[in-house]
This record gives sequence, C-alpha cells and structure tokens, in this order.
Amino acid sequence: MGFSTIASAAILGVAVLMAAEIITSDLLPKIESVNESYDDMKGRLRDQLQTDISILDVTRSLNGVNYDFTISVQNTGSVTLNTEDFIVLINGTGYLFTCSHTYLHPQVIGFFEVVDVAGDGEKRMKIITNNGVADYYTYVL
Amino acid sequence: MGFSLTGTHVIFFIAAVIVAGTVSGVFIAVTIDVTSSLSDRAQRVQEQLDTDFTIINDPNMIPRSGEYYLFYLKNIGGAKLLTTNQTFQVFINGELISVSDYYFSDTSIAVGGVTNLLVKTTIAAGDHILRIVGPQAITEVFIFTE
Repeated sequence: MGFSTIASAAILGVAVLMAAEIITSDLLPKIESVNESYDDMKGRLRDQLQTDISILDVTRSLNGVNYDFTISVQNTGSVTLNTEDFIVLINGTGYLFTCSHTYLHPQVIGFFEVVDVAGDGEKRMKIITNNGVADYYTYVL
Repeated sequence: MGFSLTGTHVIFFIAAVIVAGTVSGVFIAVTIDVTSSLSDRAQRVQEQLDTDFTIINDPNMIPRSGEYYLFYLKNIGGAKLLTTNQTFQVFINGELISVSDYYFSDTSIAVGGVTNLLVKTTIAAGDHILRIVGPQAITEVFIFTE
C-alpha cells in the first residue's frame, strides 16, 4: 500500500514536470514576443505623438510646358524623420521627389523638389511623414 | 493465505499505477491543448499589435484612374502588410464593395511603404466615408469629399 502511493506520486510528479516543460518551452517565448510587439507599438505611438512637420513655403519654376516645385518643410517635432519614406501629394496625386536631406532632424528645414508637374493654377499640397503625420499647403499664383 | 495477501497488494499496486498513469496522461493532454490554444492566441495578439495602416489621401481631392478611385494606403505598423482583396475589405458609406471591384497595386508593403488601392464605384458629389478593414480586423476610417 505504501509503495503504491510512492509509485503513484512519482508518476504524477513526472507528469507535472512534463507539463511545466511544455508550458515553459512553448508559451513563455510567445509571451515574450507579444511583450516585444507591445513595446514596439508603444515606441511607434510615442514617435507619432512627437512627430510634426510644417510646410513653410513653396516656389515654382517653369520646366518646358510644365512646372517644378520646391517645397520647404521644417521638422517641428522632436523626432528625426527619414525623408525617403515621405509621400508628396499635389492636388491629391502622388509624385516622386528628391529631398535635400535624407534625415530631417528637429528644427531642420528640408527642400523637396517635385519636377514636371502639369497644369497651371492653384495647387494643394500634402506632405506625409513615415508615420502618417501630415501637413498641407495651398500654392496660390 | 500469504500469497492471497501478496496478490492483493500487487493488484492494488497495479491499479494505483494504472490510475496514476491515466490521470497523468489526461493532465498532459489537457496541458498541451491549453498551451497550444494560448500560443495561437498570443500569435494573433502579436499580429494585431504589429498591424497598423492609414489612408494618406488629400480628403478634398481623390484622384481617379479611369473608372477607379485611387486611395493611397500606407503601412505604419511594425511588420510587412499583405495587401490583397482577401486580406482587406472595403466599405464606402457603409456598403461593402464587391471583391471584384477593388484591388491593390502591390500584394504586400514593407514597413513605411505605400500601395495604391483602386476602387470601382459610383460616388455622388458630397462627403463620403471610406472604411477599410485589414488583417486582424484592424480598421481605418477616412472621410473624403467628392
């Protein structure tokens, strides 16, 4: 009787150890990954809250029958922005551009060149940063 | 008499071991099931945390490409985003757009990337609401004027 109790306890003990091993090897890494994703999300939200840009000025020059635009943008936030991920919309349509700075540090002004834009008249411009923060400017003749 | 007593002890011992083994087996099986479910759930939560996107159009000027309205979708999350008409559903003014009436110019976009969402629909002049539901039911609402 005593020995059967010991044997049963041993079997149940081994089962508990196996269950603990399954939990630690499978579940704990997943919890760690979720924690990392949560930290990344907090970082992105923090950057978004600290991101701000301001379009200071737009100048236009003639390029054949079309126009080239130079858009002056200042980083008025407190996060350095990568201009390669920016998007420039003119009258709602996206255009390719070149920028004077690859990284726009806080308080620095960058110049975005958009060439060969067709059409005369008023142009409504929107510049969007890598995390979706944007500013507008209306170019009036 | 001695053997029957020993035999009884052996029978009890075997029975106890069998019961303990059965209980252990059930315990481990349940643990595996629960761990697997929690793992799957954690994976989905991780995908939800990594997924985020936004429509970056000028709400006053939505460009058109033939009979399609063109919307720019930007990946502002932390992982690559699959952009197909199976992973995204599009609503305009609350009405679900048929799968054959919209498509993306790219099948996936990297972090920070932009793709074109082309939607074929007829929109009257005035204010409209575009609602896009992506993976893990992450939703983006965009109000625009035609």
